[in-house]
Amino acid sequence: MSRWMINCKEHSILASENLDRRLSFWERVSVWIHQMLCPPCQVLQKQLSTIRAACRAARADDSITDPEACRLPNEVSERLKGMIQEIATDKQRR
Amino acid sequence: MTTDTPDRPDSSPPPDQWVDLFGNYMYRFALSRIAEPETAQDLVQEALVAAIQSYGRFQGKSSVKTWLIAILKRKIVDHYRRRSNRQATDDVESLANSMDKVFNDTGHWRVRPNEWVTNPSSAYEQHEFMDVLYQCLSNIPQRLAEIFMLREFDEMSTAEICKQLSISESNSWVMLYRARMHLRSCLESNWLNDAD
Repeated sequence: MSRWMINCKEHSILASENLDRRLSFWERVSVWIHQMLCPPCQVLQKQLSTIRAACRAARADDSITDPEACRLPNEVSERLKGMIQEIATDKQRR
Repeated sequence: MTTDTPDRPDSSPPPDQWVDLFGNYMYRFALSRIAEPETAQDLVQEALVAAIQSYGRFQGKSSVKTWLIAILKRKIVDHYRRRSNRQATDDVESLANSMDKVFNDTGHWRVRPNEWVTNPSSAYEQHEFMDVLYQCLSNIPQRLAEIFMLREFDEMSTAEICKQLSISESNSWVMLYRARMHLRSCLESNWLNDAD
């Protein structure tokens, strides 16, 4: 078998590693050829991309429409500020 | 304030301004995941405490806001883990064995992955998806969840992760692979089934 023909399991490993390191030329060729021939592995590739995009999104979703409902109550804000001040002072002292 | 300020841009707001600048945003983020206001407030507090304690290691590669949200996401996963009351299993090997069920002996899919029909503009679908994602993440062995969160929430490179966790780079790729494959399979069985 030629070196760029890989099976689905090997493809899944490379598809994941592609998110963490630059694949070698032959690895990229293997992934590309495999995906051309294998629709389920194209789906896997999309799923891995969706998971990454979802995890990296730093936006709150828009399910809360009442702006007042998503404001920290004043007493909580004040308590948090006091707490931060306390920890900072404590750190400085040490 | 703290004196341990390494390579951060001077424009980064100091901790005493975080609540005013990002408090409501963090609260809103937490509330969009956890519907109970008091729990959401507790999670914001936990995230702020964790942030101020690790501020010395914040390098300013992302904005303070993005960094705070990354910490908050970890607290949300912790919350789900506590709520599900599962022992924090570290059984990475049994997960590896369950992965063998994904592919047959010749390395082909036993159960083919399904196309995820998502509508990114639908807030409802996004919300459902993220709910299941956090739950799935809270169900995988802690070691795998930790490395996955470092990579995807904190956006650390694998080289940085290896340094932090004292593991080899190839080991980190294997762990990330297992975490992702487990998550995708968990999302597929829980999210898609719920959506039916």
